[in-house]
Amino acid sequence: MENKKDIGDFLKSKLDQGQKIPNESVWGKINATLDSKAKRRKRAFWLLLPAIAIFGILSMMIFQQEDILFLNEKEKISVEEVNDGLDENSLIETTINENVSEIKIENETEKVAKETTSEEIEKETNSEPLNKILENKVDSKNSQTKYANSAEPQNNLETSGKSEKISDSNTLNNNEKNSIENLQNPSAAENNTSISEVKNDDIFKNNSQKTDSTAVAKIEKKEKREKVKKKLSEKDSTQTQTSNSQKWTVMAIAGPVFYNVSDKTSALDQSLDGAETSGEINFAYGVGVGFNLTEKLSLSYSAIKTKLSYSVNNVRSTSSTDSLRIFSISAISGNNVSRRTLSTFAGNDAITLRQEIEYVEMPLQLTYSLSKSRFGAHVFGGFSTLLLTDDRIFAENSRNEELDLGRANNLSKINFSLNAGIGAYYKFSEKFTLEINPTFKYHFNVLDSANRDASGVLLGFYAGLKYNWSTN
Amino acid sequence: MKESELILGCIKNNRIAQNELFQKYKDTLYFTSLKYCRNEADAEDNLHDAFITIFQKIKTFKNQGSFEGWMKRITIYKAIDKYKTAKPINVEIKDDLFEDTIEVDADTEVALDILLKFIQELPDRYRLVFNLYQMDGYSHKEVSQMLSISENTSKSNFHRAKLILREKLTNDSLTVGSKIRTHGK
Repeated sequence: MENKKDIGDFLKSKLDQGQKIPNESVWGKINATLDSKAKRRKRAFWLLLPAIAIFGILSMMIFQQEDILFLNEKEKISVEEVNDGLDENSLIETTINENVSEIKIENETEKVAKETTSEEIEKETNSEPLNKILENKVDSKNSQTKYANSAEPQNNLETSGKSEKISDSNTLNNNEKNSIENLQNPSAAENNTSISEVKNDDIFKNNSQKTDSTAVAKIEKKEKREKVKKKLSEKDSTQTQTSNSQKWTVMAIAGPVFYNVSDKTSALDQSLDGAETSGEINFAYGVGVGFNLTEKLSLSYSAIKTKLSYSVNNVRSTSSTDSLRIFSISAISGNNVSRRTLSTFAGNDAITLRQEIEYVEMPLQLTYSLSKSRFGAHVFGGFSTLLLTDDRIFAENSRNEELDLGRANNLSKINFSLNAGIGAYYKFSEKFTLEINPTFKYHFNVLDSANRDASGVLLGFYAGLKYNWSTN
Repeated sequence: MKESELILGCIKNNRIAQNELFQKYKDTLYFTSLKYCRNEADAEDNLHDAFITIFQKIKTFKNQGSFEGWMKRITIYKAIDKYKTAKPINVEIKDDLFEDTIEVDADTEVALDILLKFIQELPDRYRLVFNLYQMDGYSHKEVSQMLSISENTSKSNFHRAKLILREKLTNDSLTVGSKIRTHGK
């Protein structure tokens, strides 16, 4: 009997738990892909940073504007409040004074007539909230007495002025004492006998007191207003200072830059790792904009055309057949330099490989002024995004001849550098400032490779002419 | 490293953990890729793509079900994505043929590589349907959804795949002597 099976089931049984070993290169490819993805993430982060920074600046600017507006609004409100308060207070004071004067005269005449005792007055004095009124009342009694004795309106004015100083307890006590003394004084009898005279005097006093208290209130009101005005003008000047510091600046930058790469990891080829390198000086120039965040802190963003170059020295052929090691440099591509040409060019001597790289560098830097004077120093730091624009690799022989080998195909299109420095400035005028900014830059992400990266250092002596471009 | 530690390591993008995970499952997933792909080169590419996706999506694995099954599904889907857009093969087939059983002698000795080769040589759509339905147990409804085809097309593709495989087995010199015949139900 034949053992039959469906072809599908047959294949399944044969292949179900099968395993096969893949090529070892698969992991290498996966590893490289993971590296490049990680690198892309990093690159995206670095590319995002300027955008975040610009967004931050704009946000800060908007917030500052809002703060100023808010401050102005607040000031307006406070001025109105103060004015209102002032008016109300003065009105209250005036009204009180007027009322007190009226009450005083009425009560006074009554009290004098009834020979009110000091005890009653004390009771009245202690009863709140009529303290103020009583104070004035007692005061006015004094003044009345004085009036009766001397009949000098000048004294009355002084006394009524005093009466408004509620907190002055000494005055109050004295006044009370005086009033009590006056009331207990036998001369009161005389006053009693001449009520009509007193009444007439009181009416006069009442009128003069009314006038006096209103005048005093007006004077005080004026004084208070002047104080408020002073405060406001002080705040205004502070605001003007703040707004003055919010200035946009534009600047032109130029200066020599020295560049060298790390000799540990060659940017040209792995076979040149550890080869001696020497840095070279080039020139950089560009323009930028800045924004004064505070009086001492400013942010700038520039675009600088930067040429960097360095040399790898003593590159020799390793054997007679392999005329020059640079033929094995996979990074060089492009100029169709034949082996023969190169052999003739180099001869038996060592050659120098020189790489020139051009970037548009965009530094985003924060600067902190160490002084406020016309001449001073500042420190700064930030980072640059460098966009590759051009590159060449040259060979130089012992006869100082130069051969263009072509371009490097391993350079990253986008590089970055971390920057820091300390500089000096001189303000010619309010508008123009000259700056010298020696800057150290650590240049990284030079190579577009998942497995290798080269780094370099850049020392720039940038001179900048800054123009304060502001509407203020 | 335990599987859970491996997963955690991969979530943290730890390259050692990622390598260990690759080493642990590469053979199984490569074999799956071989079944679904046209050749070894495609299978290696598929394995690469599958592992990249696994490392990217590993944080979404919720410890529900088999981790190996989850990785296998990713590998299968990667292969489907690769061949799904392949030009469809229009075949006309009678419904009664769908239920046919195509039998072979169970004792037939065929080398694993040869069997794999037969499957790989199937037209893309047939290969996908055959593998999904026969080898990995998906229903025709599921297959139709996965490949954006009708259920009938899935059934017909499956049947055609079996016919081709029988023919290959018959013609192959290694299968000489094996008796293959078709039974109608």
